[in-house]
Amino acid sequence: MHNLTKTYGEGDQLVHATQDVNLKILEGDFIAVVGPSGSGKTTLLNLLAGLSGPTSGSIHHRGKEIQHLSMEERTAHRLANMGFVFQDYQLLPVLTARENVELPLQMRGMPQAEIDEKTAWALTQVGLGDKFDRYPRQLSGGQQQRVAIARAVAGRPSLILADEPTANLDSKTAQDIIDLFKKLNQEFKLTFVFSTHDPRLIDQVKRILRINDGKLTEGSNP
Amino acid sequence: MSRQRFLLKFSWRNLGRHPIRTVIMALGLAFGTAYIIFALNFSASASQEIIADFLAQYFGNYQVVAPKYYPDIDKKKFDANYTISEDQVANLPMDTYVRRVTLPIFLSGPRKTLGTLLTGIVPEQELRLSKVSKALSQGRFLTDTGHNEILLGEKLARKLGVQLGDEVAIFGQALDGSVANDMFKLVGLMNFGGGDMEENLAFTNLVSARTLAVIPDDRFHQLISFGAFNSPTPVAPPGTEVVPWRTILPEIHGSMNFIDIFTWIVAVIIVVVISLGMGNTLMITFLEREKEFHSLNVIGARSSWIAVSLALEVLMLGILGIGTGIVFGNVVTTLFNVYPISLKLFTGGKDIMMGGMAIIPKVRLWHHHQYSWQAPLLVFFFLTLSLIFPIQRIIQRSRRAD
Repeated sequence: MHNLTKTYGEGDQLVHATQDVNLKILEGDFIAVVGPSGSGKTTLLNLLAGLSGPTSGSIHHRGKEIQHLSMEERTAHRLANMGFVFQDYQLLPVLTARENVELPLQMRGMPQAEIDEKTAWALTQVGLGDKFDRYPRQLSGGQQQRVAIARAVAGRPSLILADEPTANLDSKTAQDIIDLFKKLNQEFKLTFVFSTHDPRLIDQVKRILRINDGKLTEGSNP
Repeated sequence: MSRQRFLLKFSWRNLGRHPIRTVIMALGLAFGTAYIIFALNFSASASQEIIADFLAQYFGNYQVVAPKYYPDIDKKKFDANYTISEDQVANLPMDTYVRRVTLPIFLSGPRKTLGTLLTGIVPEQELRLSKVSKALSQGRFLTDTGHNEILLGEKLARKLGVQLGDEVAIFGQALDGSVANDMFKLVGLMNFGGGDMEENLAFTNLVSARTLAVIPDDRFHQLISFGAFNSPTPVAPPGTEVVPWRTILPEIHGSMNFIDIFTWIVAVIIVVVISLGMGNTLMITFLEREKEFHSLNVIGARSSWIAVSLALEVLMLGILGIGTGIVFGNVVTTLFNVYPISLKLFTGGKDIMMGGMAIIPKVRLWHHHQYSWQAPLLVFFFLTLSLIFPIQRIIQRSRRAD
């Protein structure tokens, strides 16, 4: 991200969601974006994902300048290069765990054999090797979040964005999920960027990005 | 291929998310489609059966006449001076035709003298092909050899003041310009349900009519077809003209067309009402899932993928509902083919009059196969319209950058 600014409104109502943000995310990074509510965390993630465009500045990812892509091109770029984990899992209730994980791979048009292999790998990594054919309603909150993580990592994307991934989970389950993120980062060099308030997750990350009134400052865990 | 299968599976399962809602929508489509197929079949069958029955009583499907026989057909005017010969029509398949002579005459009885139309018929042919003889209420039908025998409508006989066995005087103009006059014996009375035909028709056999009007033995006015209803109209033999019933009776043809069009209009209104309800339900269903569509877009689903999945849902719903409706509509049609619908249910038990005649009170439904695809296509067209708003919304959202 280079000199990235995103503003909403105009005149007296102008709000700087992000202001001159410069950020480089490296492969294998494990980053938490922290800050009070309304500070611009979600805006930053949306800009990274190409879900919204910057007012000024640029975002480079995998050789593409995201801000110059059309919305459909950004969608295609997300599908090929990014994974997402939502606070409320956002699994499709009509699909089983296996099919939820398959979904983005199917959209990419992969051969079925490759899809089966990647799906099995992802679900095994998140510890659901025995629950392939369960529907989301048959799984606990923690298990649903694991399916969502499997869906995000199955295609081995270069960047995984997670918006408050532990906010809806109890303390024990949240810790399990954090451990899972850490394992995936360490074993497979997957790159994670979290938007979070959870101190347990913040304690585990390598880089901490603090955002306040749209301005970003960087720190790290000792 | 696996991608398409996955999409189909996804759309199919989405139909099961609100089973009651889906069943209600499918039933709505099924009943709508079935009703339209039934209504159109009923309308077409009723038109066909009623007209076929009406035409079989007197007019026939089409007539072969001399080109100038009908100088002003719109006003039902004919000119009895123009006849055709047996030789001219020799090439037509005669097993479905009757020959007639028609003559405007005055009939004189003890009470009155009235103008009417005398029709000379071949009794054997009429007994075999037309339903003229079915209208006989008293006395007997004509014979081929009877001399100067006449059948009168009951009303006409009453007005003339004659009864069975009485004689009536006929006078008119023969084709050679002379005065045609003779005495005829009333051998039968006819009942056409009390309509105008009872006042305006008199029948005698062809031989007596020819003798009265001085028409040669091989000539007559009309060769009338009583073949299958809607059988193709033949090419007119040289020196003749073929006039279909639609030309002779444009007002009845117009009425039947109006009924057909009206049935279609009602069908379209029903489909629009069903579609509005369906569209509203689909819109609620889709709006409930907007957050899901957004999440799908975030994980990489293009708007076209989401739109196709919705379209497939509606397509499957349509196939289920409309398919059931086609089957149901045809089953009901078959049922009323076996058990005809009595029109007297709708008329308080009274006869239905058409063109001065009482017509059959029962309608047997026939399958008109074109309705089995036209009605579903109509329903499907309006069902598709209900997709426009949600798909437009999905595309707009996916193209909008905050």
